[in-house]
Amino acid sequence: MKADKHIDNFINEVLEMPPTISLSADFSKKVESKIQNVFSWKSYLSQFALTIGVICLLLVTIGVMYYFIDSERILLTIEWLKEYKPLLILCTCTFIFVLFSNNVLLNYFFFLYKQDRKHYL
Amino acid sequence: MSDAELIEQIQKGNTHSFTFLVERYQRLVLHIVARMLTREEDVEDICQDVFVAVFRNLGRFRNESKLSTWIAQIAYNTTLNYLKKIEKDILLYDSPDEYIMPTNEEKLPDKIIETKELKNTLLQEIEKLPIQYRTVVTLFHIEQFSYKEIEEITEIKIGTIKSYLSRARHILKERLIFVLKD
Repeated sequence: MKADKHIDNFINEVLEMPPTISLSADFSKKVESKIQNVFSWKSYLSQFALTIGVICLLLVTIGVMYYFIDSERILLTIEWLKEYKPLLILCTCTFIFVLFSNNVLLNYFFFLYKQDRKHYL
Repeated sequence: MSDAELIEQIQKGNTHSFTFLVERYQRLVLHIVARMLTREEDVEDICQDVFVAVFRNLGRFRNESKLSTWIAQIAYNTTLNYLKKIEKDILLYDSPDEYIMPTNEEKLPDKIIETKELKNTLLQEIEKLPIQYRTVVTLFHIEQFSYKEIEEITEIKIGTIKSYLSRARHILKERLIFVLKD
């Protein structure tokens, strides 16, 4: 019984021993540099959203201000835009796509290119 | 600095705070990864992958559990996925349910001489245990996680965790007796 307890204590002691492997001294630095290579979708997408938001806000502000100066012209412009609705949608989509490519996609492809170069160097 | 403050700083873009988090939890991650992996040369790479995963998913961390439990969960899943990718056969062989328990019920030696060599032998025996046993043993004995926390980390039921712990201890005891008699 005493030997049994003794063995149990010994096993406990060994079980509490951590594995003998250790990490390199500059492990946290290595992780830091690896993290800098993580593509930040969040920041690029928020930059894109911010640009769209600023452009929309500017257009609305200019439209409202101009409405007080020359309301008739603004109404005419709206009528004209309604007439060319498909063209307007096409232009807007193209513009948004160009902006998205510039703010997000190009950065992503550049990031992939850099990763690829690092891999081969 | 508390874990909550640390997370807040990292989310604000302070990479230095993340380095601090790595330094705080690298021991925990190392213990889990090193116990689960059989190839020592992969340990550091997987530990790095764990922290990259922590960084990527930090936005999803809700303070419902402790940060250490959440990081341990990522370490466990990352290592398990890695093993599934490269060591499929070993995992199948390692299935704890198929593990045959030794049935050595011989008389115990009266006293054991606790040499370093004997400790090393037992440590090697731990490495030979099925992966789930090794993980549960590490989380419970080295990291002092509770049964509930181990369940959260490994998604293994508390009853099974207790059974793994008891079986692991039984296997080690039998092996120790065998070595002593040898």
